[in-house]
Amino acid sequence: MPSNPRRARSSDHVALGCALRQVRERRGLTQELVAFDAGVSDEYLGCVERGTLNPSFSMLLGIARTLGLTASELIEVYERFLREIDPQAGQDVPICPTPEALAYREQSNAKQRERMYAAIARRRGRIKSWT
Amino acid sequence: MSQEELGFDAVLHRNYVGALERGEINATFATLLKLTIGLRVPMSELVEIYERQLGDAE
Repeated sequence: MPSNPRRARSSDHVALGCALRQVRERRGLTQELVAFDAGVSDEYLGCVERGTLNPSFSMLLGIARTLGLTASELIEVYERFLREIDPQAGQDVPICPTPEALAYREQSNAKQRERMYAAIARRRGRIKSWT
Repeated sequence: MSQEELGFDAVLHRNYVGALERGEINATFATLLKLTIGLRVPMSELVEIYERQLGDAE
């Protein structure tokens, strides 16, 4: 799986890759061995470790299992790396939706309702005209 | 929280959220990240819930 340069190397993906590499190296395992056991190519694992590939959840589970980790253990290592790379990570996530987000949601819901009511009204109109 | 609201906060389509909940889609890491933002839980918590559910299912 060649790395796609357009795919963003987000700090999350880099942290995940660092976590995988650290655990693998601590276990004294080679990329080839882990990739083979997890059923992915060396290239795929390399890209995930560099943070240039966005792996699927099932692939992550397979790699974690090969490393002898549960998924939550792997994610904990990832979160530790993420805090190291980006101390602000997670802090900008609002605990409750921001007023702007709520206003926007309200507005888009209102528009959706309007369209729905209009569609119902049109249908009623047609039915009335048939009878 | 409705699927629509979660989809809104996580920037995912509500149909996509529904398919995820039914297990029809194999989410990528980036999608999981979006869900943790929408659900406002750390990813470790989301994965722990997944493992508990998996344990219950077995």
